[in-house]
Formats: sequence, structure tokens, C-alpha cells
Amino acid sequence: MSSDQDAKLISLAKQALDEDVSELGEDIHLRLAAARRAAVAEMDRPVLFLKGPWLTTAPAAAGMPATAMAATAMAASLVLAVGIWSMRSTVPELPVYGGEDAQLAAQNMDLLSDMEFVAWLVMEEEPNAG
Amino acid sequence: MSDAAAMNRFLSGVEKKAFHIANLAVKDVDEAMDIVQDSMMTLVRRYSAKNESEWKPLFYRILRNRITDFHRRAVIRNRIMGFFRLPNSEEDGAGPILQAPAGYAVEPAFQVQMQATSEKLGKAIEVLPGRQREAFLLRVWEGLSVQDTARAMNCSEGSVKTHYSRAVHTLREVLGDDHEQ
Repeated sequence: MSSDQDAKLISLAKQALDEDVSELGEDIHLRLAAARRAAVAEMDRPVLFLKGPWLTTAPAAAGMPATAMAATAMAASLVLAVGIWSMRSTVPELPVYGGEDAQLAAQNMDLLSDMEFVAWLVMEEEPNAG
Repeated sequence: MSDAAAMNRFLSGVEKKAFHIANLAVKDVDEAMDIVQDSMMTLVRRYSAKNESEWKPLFYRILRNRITDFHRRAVIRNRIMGFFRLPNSEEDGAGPILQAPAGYAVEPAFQVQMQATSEKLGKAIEVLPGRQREAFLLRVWEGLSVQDTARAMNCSEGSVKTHYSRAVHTLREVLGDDHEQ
């Protein structure tokens, strides 16, 4: 096929496509124009990096991109979470008895033994009392 | 000219073609409108600071990505809905493209014949495989260079040439002798 025929084919294709576009309804034109205006209006709107009382704003073309800001915040949160988790996951210390505590415990045991002995002695002597 | 005015001029120049391309790809006016609107927003937010000469390939690349996203979502949706659909339902089988009338009637008057040829060509473009249609529309209709088309389609220049060549070949076959008169 010659290049002339290809050129004619391409010309016909363009014509067909242009006709399709020219047949778009008025509502489509209006919606496209509205979408365009909304997009163009975005150009002058400052980009919000974060929401909240610590809100910072900057023009779209300058400063740290929102995605980088979000990534940094996420990394900080992760570090914080790992820190808290590691603190909570440590084994709690068991009470160690020693020193005065140990002495007191031993004395209590001795006293208990003495009291049992005295009680037994009293029981043994009662039949002989009369 | 301010950046906003330049962007407005650029978008007004591509919006109708972009909508038609999206509509050909997704076959849904509202989805196509959403895709174009989202593409406009993304271009402005991310690439408005770029050189104006780069806007067109970037815009069509964004548009293409949005169309691809739409098809991915549709595949997932169809898989999910497939669990609830009865087998051999009337919806199975030929899709809207195959069900559409072929429009091959031959009219006696030249003007009418040209109209018929144009319609036939429009339908032929509609049923081209996605990548071939993209390459053809961007090269022929939008007038992008091979390099910019490759950038928009995220593929090599060789692939663009192959897709374009196959598209032209298919269209020639569909039209037959019509365009040789």
C-alpha cells in the first residue's frame, strides 16, 4: 500500500474521531470545563502537609512533598511504637528476699515453731495437773 | 502568560480528545469523565512546575494509568460478582463491542459513503486492541512524536512503532477498498 493511501486512511481516521468529539453532548462540554477549572484552581491553592493544630502550609512547588512528610511521620511513629513495645516486653523483676527481709522471715518461722512447741507442752502437762 | 492561563489553555486543548479516548477504553461516560478529571488534577498537582512541552506526554501517561486502574478494578469486581452470577446467563458471551451493529451498509451517494466509511473507521478504531488504539490515537490524533508516545505509553519507541503499524494494518483490512476510491 502506498504512503498516499496511508495518508488518506489517517485523514479519514482523524475525520471520524473529530466527528465523534463534535457529537459530544453539551453536558459533557460543561462537565469537562468544570473539571478543568477545578484543576487549574488547584495551582494557586497551598498544599496542606498535615492536619491539626500544628498545621503547616507551603506552595505546591516548594518545601517537602506531602508524601515525604507522611513517610517521615510514619517512620517516627514506628520508632515510637517499637520503643514502647520493647519497654513493655521486658520481664518484670521478681522480688528478691535478702538482708532484713530474710531475717524477719526466719524469725517469724522460729516464733511459729516455738508457739507450736509451747502449745504441745501445755497439752502434755494438762492430764498431770489434776 | 501565567502558569494558570497556560495550564487552562493546555487542558482545554486536550480535554475532549482525552475524554473520547477514555470513553473508548472504558465504555462508560461517567467513568471516563472521572478519569479525565483525575488526570487533570494529577497533572496540575504533580507536574505543573514542569516545562509546558512535557505536559502532553505526562497527561496522557496519567490518563493511561487511570484507565489501567479502571480495568484492574473491573477485573476484581467481575471476579467477585462471578461468584454470585448464575452460569449461562444472558450477560455472558458477546460484549457490547461485539453486539454493536457493524455498520457496513453501502450507500450509493458519495457523501453518504464517506459518512459510512467514517463510521466504519470509528468502530474499527474502537475495537482495536488497547495498546494499538493508544499508539494510533496518540500518534495520529494527538500528533505526539514516537518519543513522546513512548513516554506516554511507558514503553519503548520500538513498541510504539510496532503497535502503530499493526493498528494501521488492521484498519486497512477493516476498510478494505473503501479508502482506495
